[in-house]
Amino acid sequence: MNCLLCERTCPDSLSMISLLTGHLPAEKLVCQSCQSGFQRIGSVCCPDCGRDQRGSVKTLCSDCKRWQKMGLRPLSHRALFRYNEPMKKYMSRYKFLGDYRLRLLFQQAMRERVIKRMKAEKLDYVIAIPISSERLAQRGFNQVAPFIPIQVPSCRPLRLKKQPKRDQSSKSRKERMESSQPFELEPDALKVVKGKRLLIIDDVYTTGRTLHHASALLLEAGAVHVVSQSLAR
Amino acid sequence: MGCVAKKELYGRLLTWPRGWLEDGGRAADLPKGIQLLKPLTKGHCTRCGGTDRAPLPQGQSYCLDCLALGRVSTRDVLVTLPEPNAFEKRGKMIWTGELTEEQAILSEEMIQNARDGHDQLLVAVTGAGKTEMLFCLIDWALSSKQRVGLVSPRVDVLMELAPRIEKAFDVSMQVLYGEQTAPYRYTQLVLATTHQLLRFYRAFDLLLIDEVDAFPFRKNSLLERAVERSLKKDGRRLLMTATPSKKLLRAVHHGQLRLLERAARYHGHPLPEITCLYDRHWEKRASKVLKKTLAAFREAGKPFFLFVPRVRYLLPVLSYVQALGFEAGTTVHANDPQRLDKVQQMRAGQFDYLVTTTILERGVTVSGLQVVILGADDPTFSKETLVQMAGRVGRSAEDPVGQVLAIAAGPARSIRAAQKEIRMLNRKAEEKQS
Repeated sequence: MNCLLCERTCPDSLSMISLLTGHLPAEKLVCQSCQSGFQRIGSVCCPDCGRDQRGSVKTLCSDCKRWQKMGLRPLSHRALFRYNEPMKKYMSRYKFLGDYRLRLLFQQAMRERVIKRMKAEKLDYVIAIPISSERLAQRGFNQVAPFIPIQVPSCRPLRLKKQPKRDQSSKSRKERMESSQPFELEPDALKVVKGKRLLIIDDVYTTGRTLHHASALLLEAGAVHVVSQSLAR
Repeated sequence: MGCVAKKELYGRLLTWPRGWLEDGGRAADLPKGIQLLKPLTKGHCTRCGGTDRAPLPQGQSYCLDCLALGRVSTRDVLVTLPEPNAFEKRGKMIWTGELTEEQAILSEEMIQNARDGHDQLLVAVTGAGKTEMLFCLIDWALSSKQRVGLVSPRVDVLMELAPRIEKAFDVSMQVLYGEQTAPYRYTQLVLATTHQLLRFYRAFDLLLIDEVDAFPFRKNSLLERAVERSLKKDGRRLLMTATPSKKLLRAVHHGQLRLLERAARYHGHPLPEITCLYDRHWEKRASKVLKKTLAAFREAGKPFFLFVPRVRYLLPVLSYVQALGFEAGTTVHANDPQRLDKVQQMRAGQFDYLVTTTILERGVTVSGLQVVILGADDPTFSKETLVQMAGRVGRSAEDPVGQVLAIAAGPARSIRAAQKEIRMLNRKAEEKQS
């Protein structure tokens, strides 16, 4: 077996079950050293954006204070992992190289987390952040879609506005903070969203600009409560 | 991107999302004569010929064998323009060095073979002056308006070759390899790693492949197919190695390859022989002989390489060598981001020695270099590897002798075979001279 991230052969032994069923558990897809690079975010984090914090008390981070000042509703965002170097490498291989196999690495962890939150916070729908149609044509998949559990209700009220839009990850922080609403509502969105409690899923939370835009639009459309979840923060 | 300059497509094989061709605007300004290839032919990837695939949503799939060079999926098309050999006029060869009589004969023979349309195999010992022998052939090919590719499976070898070639010819050229950032240009002479050939389609009239027996080229059908595909239908190839595999020799026997041999080094001195010693604890401490040898190297002011079979031995070996008082040294391995710089610094005299894995076994010339091979019986050191490592020694005419010390935990066939081969080559060279 070769590690999907560093392409080296991993000496890991396969269990009898994997050999017979051909099914590999997610942690066997990458080698030990790649696996150990990912840092899980614990329960001590900023209550609004899920940023990892030291110590034992949760405090609102400076970014979120700024969001509050701007008068935006808190997202209660949570992320599973830190957006560190190994995670950046993962994203570049998964999204930009387009190695769709890599979805399997975090699929289960994300799905479990989503299901847990749906129950605990009594949410109605899951929404994946949409990607532009050109990007979809090129990549062949929405990188967030595999993280939505099959058994929970999901909907697609959002789409990207048609405009020559630059990739978020190629912008500086300032540019990103000032960027205008990239989303618009699908024609039948109002019916679906009205009075509902929603969970938005994205791959990476960097400044929070994208998710706050999406949340604002959904609230405007009549949703009562919008929270968010991402793989990395 | 849809408006890729026409030139950049000559003989190239690029991947475009199929959507680009469908939306009206781009379809109109496609260059004339463009060829569109399906990404999948009879279950094989059109670019690399591989069959290992992974699924995408909606019944699409992509090739896993050549994923590292950018994804080719069934959502894409492969585009190419036939190679027109439209090059600017070029100046004369700048290189004015002289070949020895024997080198000149071989070089003549190579041109003749290429003219007659034969594939050939050049077997020349390490330090025979392979590169210089190629100059006349390259010059001939360039002046007859051929597109020439010079490829090697190793980046390090390529980096060593590039400046020498650049100095020798007045022609448009470029170097292509994995981590490079400069964009592709259309040039008559292309230096590239073998993987980069997957991005070419019937482009080359003459393809020179250095170190055909080296990893990763060896036993890699993907790269063999890449060579096949990047050549024009009537294109010719020249394979080069110091240590031909049985498979290559069989091809010679069957008449598929013309064999050219050169047993002597260009300065006429014999290849240094490998002295083998046994020490079971070479990874933990320096044996007496090793201490003595290293002290002798220091006395003579000579740089040296310490080869180890695996990355995990690098640091322990470095630390005990440093404990002996050899401070100016460092380690090099394949995933070392600074590996190219470190070799440069060694040549500049900043380091006295390098502890390295097999990546520096070939293509590297450091004058006055001495070699110690630790753990020579390890299975990662094949016969070819050992011969190549020994071949790093005594490459310059001013300093044609040197020492190759192998320290092994126990006897191994590969060591015996390597010693035998070096002796055999030296005998051959002697016979020819007398």
